[in-house]
Amino acid sequence: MMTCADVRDRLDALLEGRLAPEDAASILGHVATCAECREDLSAAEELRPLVASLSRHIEPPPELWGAIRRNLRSPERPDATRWSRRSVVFVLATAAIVLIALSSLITLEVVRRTGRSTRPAIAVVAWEADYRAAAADLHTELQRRRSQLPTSTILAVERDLAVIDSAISEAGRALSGEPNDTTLRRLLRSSHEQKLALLRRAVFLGPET
Amino acid sequence: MSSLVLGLSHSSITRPSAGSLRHDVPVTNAATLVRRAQVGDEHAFRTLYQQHAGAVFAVCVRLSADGVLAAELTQDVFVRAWEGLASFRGESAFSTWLHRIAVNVVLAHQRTAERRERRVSLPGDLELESHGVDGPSAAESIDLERAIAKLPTGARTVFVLYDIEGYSHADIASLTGIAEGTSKAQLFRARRLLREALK
Repeated sequence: MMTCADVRDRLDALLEGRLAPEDAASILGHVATCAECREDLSAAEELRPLVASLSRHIEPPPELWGAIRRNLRSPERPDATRWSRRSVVFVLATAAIVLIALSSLITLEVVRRTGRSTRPAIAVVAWEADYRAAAADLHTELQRRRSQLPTSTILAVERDLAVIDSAISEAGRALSGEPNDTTLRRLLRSSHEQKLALLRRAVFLGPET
Repeated sequence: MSSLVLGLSHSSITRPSAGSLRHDVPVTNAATLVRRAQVGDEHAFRTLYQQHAGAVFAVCVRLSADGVLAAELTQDVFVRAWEGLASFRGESAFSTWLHRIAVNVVLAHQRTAERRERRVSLPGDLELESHGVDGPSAAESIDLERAIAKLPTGARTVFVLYDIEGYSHADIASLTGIAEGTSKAQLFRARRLLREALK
């Protein structure tokens, strides 16, 4: 015996033609004798084409993106945690120590290999240009936000950038003499990565504009 | 902006030439945009916003029945999406993930905010797309939008989620905290009220 609850459960399936003929007949038999269910069926039938015609997109106010953008902060990244402003100086100082050690390592490599070869590091040029371009983009962004950053942060960033640039220069000079040396390449690439990481961190730490 | 600026690996995306501006980033697909946004690329996120804002705003305005509030909720949705991008693993479509955030944001607001008396004003502040000549007219659609906006909150929520957005009663029960039976009852109540309003 079909109940009103049974009919309600299957009404949409009926309207979409998803019911077996005997089930559809049972529902229609009940509807013929039940004013409540007849009302529900009529309402669903009449609304169906209207609902289907509704747009799934309604344009938001054009100024909404600006409001959203002002509220965007650096997202949590899968490979990094968000850095607090208070910890940045400490972190950058630690990074500087690591970079000084890296620079010294490169210097040792340079001294050890001096005079071996004078071939240009052609293979390195392509990817190093990418690093330099990326660093330039980030540096531009950092300069744009410079006035909004604490002085201590700016000083820490500039000091570490100087250390990294020195390391990059040394590694580059060494590679110009040994363009196929994988250790030197790795050192150079690592220095560039360090520079980009520092710049990204500094940019993301800055206030959003 | 190059991939290196964003912190992506060399092999993960095709990079523009060195020194190119961020506006020159080629937009290839949603996955690339999401990946870029996940590492802080606001321009990629803006493109995602442009692609999905209409759908998010539509669900917000229909659920809230308030155009001004819907704009605030849409803003909240995208800010939350930005902050939660790291948790998006691509197991569902980005649009599905974003839509779920939108529904949760609106329902959370409904649960905590005082009842608002303002009702949506469609002709003045919202732009509805026109529809095919063979179906219901744009005027009929707007009438329906108005009628939906005037439904009681419970009936409106279920009607929008079930009939327009395609959620099941089980999903609605999970999202709203009501029983499935209540969801079904609210749906039929909403349909009857709408039918009456449109006569």
